[in-house]
Amino acid sequence: MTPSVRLSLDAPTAQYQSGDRLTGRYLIDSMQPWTVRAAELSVLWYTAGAGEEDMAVHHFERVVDDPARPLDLRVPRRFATVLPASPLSYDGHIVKVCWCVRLRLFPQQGQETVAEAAFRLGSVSVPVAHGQGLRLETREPHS
Amino acid sequence: MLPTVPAVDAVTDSPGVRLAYRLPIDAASGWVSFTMAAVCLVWNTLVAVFVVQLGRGHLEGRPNWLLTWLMVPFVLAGLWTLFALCRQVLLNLAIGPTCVEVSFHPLYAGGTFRGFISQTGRLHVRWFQVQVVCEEQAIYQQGTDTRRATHRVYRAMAFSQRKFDIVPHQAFQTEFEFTVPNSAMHSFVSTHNAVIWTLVVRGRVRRWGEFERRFPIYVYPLAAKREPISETSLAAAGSAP
Repeated sequence: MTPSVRLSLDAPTAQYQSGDRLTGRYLIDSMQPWTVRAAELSVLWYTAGAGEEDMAVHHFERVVDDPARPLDLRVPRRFATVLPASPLSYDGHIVKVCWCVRLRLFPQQGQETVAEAAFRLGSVSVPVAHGQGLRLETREPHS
Repeated sequence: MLPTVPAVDAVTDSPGVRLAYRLPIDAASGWVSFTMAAVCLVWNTLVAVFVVQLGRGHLEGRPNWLLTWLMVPFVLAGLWTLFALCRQVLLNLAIGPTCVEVSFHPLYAGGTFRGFISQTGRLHVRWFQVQVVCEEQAIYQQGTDTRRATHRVYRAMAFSQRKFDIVPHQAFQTEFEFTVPNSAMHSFVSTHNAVIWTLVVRGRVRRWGEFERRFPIYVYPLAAKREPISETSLAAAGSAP
């Protein structure tokens, strides 16, 4: 049975600004040791909405099981990175920019396990249109 | 260098006459005329080949009336493409160049900036507007087609004037102010998604109908701000270098 993975950010609101230091930790919730070949942690953004997904990794770290230094994820592991100036989190109509910390665990046997912790970078929003006689619209998609 | 934020060099490399930077026009405006010319040329060449063959048959006393009548809609369509192309070319000639300048670049959310517009031509203008527009663009696959969806999320009037004339050798020139709203999303471009800010110049002129010209502007995240945006800095940036 796959043990549960706990991935958490230190900021309870999960709200950050550019240049902030994002910190957190991860561990597996298990009494028994769970042999993992490697663990990969990424801080990344991806797009959602109508378009194809774009994504980029801002921070990446990988730890591997080594006979000299066995990987025991029952012991919490911390991570930290300084967040960039862009892209900021955005919740638009057909384009959304989402940030998250993604943890992938590769066990010795069985399927990989993925855990995510979402957070917001910046505090932008969809602007409210103003002006007389102005109407917002969506153009029909075209090839 | 800001990830996913387009470089501003295209604008800052081009100084303005009245204000600091002259905005380049959106390349898409030129592509409309080019595409129309290409469609017109290809369509009418093909139609001409068939018409010549049919005409030869008629002259030699071997008329093919079925094919002749079938060709009528194709010829009409060809004439329509010629008409549309001529109208587009005349529209471009009659409505002279539009020049837009801004006092500061890149722009930042919450900032108020000055703009300058110059429009030449010989025009009886019914209405003329400059709008600040933000659009989301998403590219996606549908079957084997690549499609692009656009959603306009913000549009604000920066300048509007009704019923005036523009005469040759005396361009219509005016300054205006515009604001990028607080907490607005910065310009964003990735492979399939984009958030694009534009100054859109729109107008309706007698005989020619409506026209629209787009001038991309770049809104940067506040974290990348070079200096505080104040009246002093705007005034300093307001005069061309």
